[in-house]
Formats: sequence, structure tokens, C-alpha cells
Amino acid sequence: MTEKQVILVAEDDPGLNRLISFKLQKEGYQVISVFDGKEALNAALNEKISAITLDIMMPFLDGIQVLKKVRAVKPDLPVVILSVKSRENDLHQALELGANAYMTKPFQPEQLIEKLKQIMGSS
Amino acid sequence: MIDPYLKILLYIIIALLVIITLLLLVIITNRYLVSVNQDKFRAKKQKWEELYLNYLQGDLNLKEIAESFKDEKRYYWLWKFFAPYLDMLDGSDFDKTKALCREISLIGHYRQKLEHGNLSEKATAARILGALRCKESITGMISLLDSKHQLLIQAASLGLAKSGESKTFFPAARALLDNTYFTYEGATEILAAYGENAAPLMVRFLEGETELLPGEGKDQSLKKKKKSFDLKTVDPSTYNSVMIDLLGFFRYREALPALHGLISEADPETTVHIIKAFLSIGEVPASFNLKSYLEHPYWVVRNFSARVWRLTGDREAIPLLIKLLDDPNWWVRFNAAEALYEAGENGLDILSMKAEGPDVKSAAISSYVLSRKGVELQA
Repeated sequence: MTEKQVILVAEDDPGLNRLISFKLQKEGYQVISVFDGKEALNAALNEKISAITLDIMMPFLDGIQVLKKVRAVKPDLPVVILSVKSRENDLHQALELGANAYMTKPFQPEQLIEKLKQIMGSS
Repeated sequence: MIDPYLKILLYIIIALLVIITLLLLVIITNRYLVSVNQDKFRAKKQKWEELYLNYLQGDLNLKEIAESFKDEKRYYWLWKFFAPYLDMLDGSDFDKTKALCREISLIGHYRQKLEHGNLSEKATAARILGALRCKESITGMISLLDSKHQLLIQAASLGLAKSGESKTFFPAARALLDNTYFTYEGATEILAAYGENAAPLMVRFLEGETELLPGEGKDQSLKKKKKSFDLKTVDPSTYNSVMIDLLGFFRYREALPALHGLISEADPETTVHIIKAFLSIGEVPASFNLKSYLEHPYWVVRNFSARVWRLTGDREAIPLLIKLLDDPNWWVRFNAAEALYEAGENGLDILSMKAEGPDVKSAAISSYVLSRKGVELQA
């Protein structure tokens, strides 16, 4: 039996987090849901995960800080950044820090899943 | 026998104690009711969420899910549940959510409030119908822009912006800037909700189609309307500045020719907005002559021109940057030194030389910028 790939969903909005997780589960992934930056970093460093969807604006530690710390330890881990359009400077910074892709809200969850699949397929 | 004054005092104390007890009771009851309501909403939300996710996934159809919502008449609860999804989702999930809101009469309820509600209900309805991108309500929201209530103008502008109807950008800008006490920044923030889709219209306005703005050019209808309140007179250049700032905010590259066309005739403040937009976009027009702005009489223009140098890398402008190291304004000196540092070895040599030179201002700023960059000067 093949092991399910694990995706870390780091998103502080509970409704959106549930929605992304639900759609990923329906696609056959196992999901770890976290709602703030500290939890995200902890899970990213300590759990065996295949990819992260990372919101930029999160409590305690923002997505950029999480990405910086994750990249120092796991340089090849696929990361898709999620953010609102008005934080575009952060998005550029995230790409410079090694995020594989980004999506701006509002977005289509199917496109996010498609992006994750592409990145995981090529990594 | 009790002293009559003491008796009155006792009555007052008893009355006060009764009032305080009643107040405490009201507060406690209120808090209890709020918490009961919150628990009820949480329970509903949990139930709705399960159904809603299955609906988005296609496991439930519209009729089936609507059946589960149809008895809920607390429309504000329904709205609180759907609002985050409508804000974050696009494409088919947004369309399905909107269809559900229509099916369960949420749209109908707020359309009715937009037309016949009181002031606060109208404002809420405008925000909600905007977020639902409800095209049928555009006319109603536009009519609120003519209101004398600032709350309605604000709500209608936001609603129109979120509805995605770019053509309503100009009436909203006019209403916000002319008829409310919103600051320039506040109005710009609301107008930013129109997003990049409104950018082509803004470019057309900056290129000379001033009639796009109601009350300007051919369409004088708004100007003719005698308002019952006239809060402020907005300088026409303010509209240009708002649009220039927004185009910069959207990083709208296609605006560069229009911005370039404006800058030669622009007043100093507008010039600053244009150069800041170049910085935000991260590019300057090919034929932009930076040198003349590095010598501009207004220090803010010189300051942002020095910052914009890195986008051009124009070696011929380096003598002017060197001159700016002695500028009367500290920020101009600082940004000129930063630009020279970014000019590579040549700039570094110039800064090192200036740091040890006789000119007090340029020596101080050169040393400061070099030390910030960790460059040690030879003793």
C-alpha cells in the first residue's frame, strides 16, 4: 500500500483552512492543519511532510518568518504561499526566499491543488 | 428618632444600590445572552460548514443544501457564515456560494434592505451585496453615492468596489473625495478595493479622458446638482494623484507611458506621486529623463529621484548624485549616497573619497552610509 503524501495547511482563517484541507483530503492527501506561524514552523520542522501551503499573515510568526526558518533546514520542501493582493511586496520577498509559487486571495482552491501537484511532481 | 437628613441619605443610598444591582443584572443577562447566541451560532456554523464543503465538492446539489438553510431567518448569521468564503474564493466555488445565497433568499433579503431599510441596514446591505458581486444592486448602490450620509457613501463605495464594476470607480471617487470627510489616504484605501481591473480606466483618465469623472468635461450632471452639503473643494490634481498612487499600488506597468506623459506638465506634488509610482512599479519609462528631476527645486522630488536611480542605473546621472551629497536636505543626501553605493565600485570609491573629504555634509553622509553597509574606511 502506498503511503499518503502529507500536506501542511498553515492558514489562520478557520473556515478557509477547513476548506483547503477538505479539498486536499478529497484528492487523497493527508493533511496537517495549523492556524498560526509557531504551529506551522513546529509542524514543518518536526513532521514528515511533502509540501506546505503557507499564509503570509498569521499570528505569532508570519509566513515570511516561517519560510525563512524552514528553508534553512529543508531547502527543497515545496512551499506555496497564499496571501492577499495588497501584500504583494511580501509575495516577492517570499519568492526571493525560495517559495516555489504563490497565489493571491481570492483564489480557486482547485488551482492551488494543481500548483501543489505540479511542484511536488517536479521536486 | 432618626435625623430627617440621615433618612434622606439612607433613601439615596438604597436607591443607588438598587440602580447598581439592576445595572449589574442587565450586564450579566446581556453577557449571558450574547454567549448563548455565540454558542448557538457556533453550533450552526459547524453544521453548515460540513454541508457547505460537501456542496462545493459536488456531493450535495443546490436544492439539497438550500433545504438545510431554508428555516434560518437570522440573515446576519447566514452572512457571517458566508462572508469569509466570499472574500477568499474565486471561480466556480464563488459562483456556487453566490447561487446558494440567492437560493436561500439572502440576496433577496439584503436587496430589499438596500431599497427600504434604515440607514444602518442600507449600509450593511451595500457591503454585503457588493461582496456577493450582485449586479442587480449596482444602480441602488450608485444612488447611495448621492446620499448626505457619509456612512452610506463609504458603504456604497466599498460595495461597488467589491462588486467588480470598474465603471463605477469614478462616481465613487468623486463622492468619497468631494462629499465625505475621508482623508486622501482613507479614500484611496477604499478605492484600492476596485483592484487592477479598474486600472485601464484610470490610465484613460490620466491620458486626457477627463469626462470619465462625473462633473468633469462633457458630463456636468453632478456638478449641476446642488448638494445640501458641500464639505470641501477638491483640487482637480487630487484625482490624478489618487489614480497615480493606485496604479503604483497595483504595479500596473501598462500605466508607464501615461505617467510619463503627465510628468513634464505636473506640479511638484503630482511629480512626487508619479516618481513614487515608478518606484512601486519597479520600472521607469524608457525615455524618462531622470537628470532633470535630480535637479528639481522641490526636495521631495530630488529625494525620490535619487531613490529611483537604481531603476535606471544611468551612469550619466552620477555627477548629479555626487552633487546631491551636499544637498541641504538630509534625506536627499542619504538617498543619493545609497544610490551611489548601489552604483558599484565606482560609487564606492566616490563615497570613500567623499567620506574623507573637506565638505562636512557629504563627508558625514558618505561615512554614515558606508558604515551602515559595513564598509570600513582606511585610516
